[in-house]
Amino acid sequence: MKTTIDVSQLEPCEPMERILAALPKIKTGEYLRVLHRMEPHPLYPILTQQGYSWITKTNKQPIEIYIWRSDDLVAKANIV
Amino acid sequence: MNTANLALQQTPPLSVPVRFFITAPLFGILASLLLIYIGSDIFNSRWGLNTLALTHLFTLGFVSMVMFGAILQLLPVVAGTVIPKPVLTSTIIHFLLTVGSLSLTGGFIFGYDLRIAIVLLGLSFFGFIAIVGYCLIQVKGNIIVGMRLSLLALLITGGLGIILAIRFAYGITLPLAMILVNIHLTWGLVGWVGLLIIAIAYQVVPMFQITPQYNAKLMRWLIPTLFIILLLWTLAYLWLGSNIGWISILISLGLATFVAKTLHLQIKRLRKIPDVTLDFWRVGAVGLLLSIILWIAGTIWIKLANQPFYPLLLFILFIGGFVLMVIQGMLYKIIPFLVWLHLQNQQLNPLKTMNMVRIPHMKQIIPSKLAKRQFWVYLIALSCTILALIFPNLIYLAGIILLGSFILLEYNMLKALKLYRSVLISLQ
Repeated sequence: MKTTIDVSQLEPCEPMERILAALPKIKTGEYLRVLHRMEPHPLYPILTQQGYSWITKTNKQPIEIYIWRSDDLVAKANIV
Repeated sequence: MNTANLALQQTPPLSVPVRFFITAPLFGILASLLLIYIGSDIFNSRWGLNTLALTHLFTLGFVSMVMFGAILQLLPVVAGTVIPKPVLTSTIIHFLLTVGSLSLTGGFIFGYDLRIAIVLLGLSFFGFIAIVGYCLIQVKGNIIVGMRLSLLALLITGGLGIILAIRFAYGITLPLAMILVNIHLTWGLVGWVGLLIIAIAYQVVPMFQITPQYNAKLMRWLIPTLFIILLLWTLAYLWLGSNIGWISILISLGLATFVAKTLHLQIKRLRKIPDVTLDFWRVGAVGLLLSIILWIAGTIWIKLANQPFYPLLLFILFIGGFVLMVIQGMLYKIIPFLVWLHLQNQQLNPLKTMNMVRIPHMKQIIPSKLAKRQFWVYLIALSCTILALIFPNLIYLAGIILLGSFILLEYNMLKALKLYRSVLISLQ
């Protein structure tokens, strides 16, 4: 199961606000897929600190960021 | 695919870039006061000592000051790296650049010994270049290449500047002195400032103005090509002893490509919301285009370039119309973003945060109304400065309005920092 949010046309700081608001809603076994127009570098340290892991796919536009709880191996395995 | 693993500590403290940003308008205030003091005498000589002081108050005290802060801020964002001991290092570099710029301009105005300025500025430039260059060694990317080449341009500009200042301090006669001055100012304005603005634009224009990305080929080739053309121009100038017109036209065309692409991206904005940064950038693009046209015209018609107003108008259009415009526009995005980001990080840090409060939105940190007011005051000051080339007495009015514009810029930034402090206190 995944939830997708598209922040690719939002002004800073709205993308990060939307992503941070979506994090607590990620259930066990699920992940969050974010569509963004550029890599959100300032988000990454916050994700680490909050106990989330991520993979960023930058090979096409919009780029995709997959976020899951670091201890949730099922969610990680579900990411294609 | 790209997986990063940054630590929160890699975001440098807010004070690291902000000390540079809030110092810059103070130099703008000093420059405005000096402009009022010099008055219409400024039109008498391009090489007058007061004019040299004024130029360096803008280029070192304002432009380089902001650029140093912007690079320190961008390193973690674009390179995932931070300078070693960021607070201590930035304090030392900031001190050297501030006191060095004051010593140099004070030396020009009051005839002080320039040796202190030479040492302080030399240490600040070469220290900054060494530290940032070291951080950029391991990383790749078009913005990184742009930052590296602009640092090299700073090395050339600073090196030549120091040679020229030694010549001035010791009264040494140098061969090719005027050629060295022209190379120094071209590398400073086009190399250090121009290339860095292009590199930073690759990051901040799509990010803050919600435009599509710059074309990948343009991002890859424009800055290195401009750098190589600048090198060729320099070697040819030194070899032949005269400016090679067609090479300097190539430099202009490279800069024009950047402006055209930026305007094109802004037209294709994904969300067309009114934005003061966009106003600064649009006027900045016009300023750069006009200076390019004037430069090409002066290269083709030497008679025009020999007019007394020509170098002044070129300087006003390039520095005042382009560089200061886009820098101020960037400050109105970078500062609210940094304040917001640091408050957000603070809120999410359970060790430091006791209370949950609503973090103000970027547009609440510096309200558009205040930024817009300062934009118009600055634009009027710029227009008056240009008109003063025809009506010299207008220069006093231009200086007073410019002074008001830098006071407003400082006020707007301090207001943002005051809000940061008050939210920080309520978080603790």
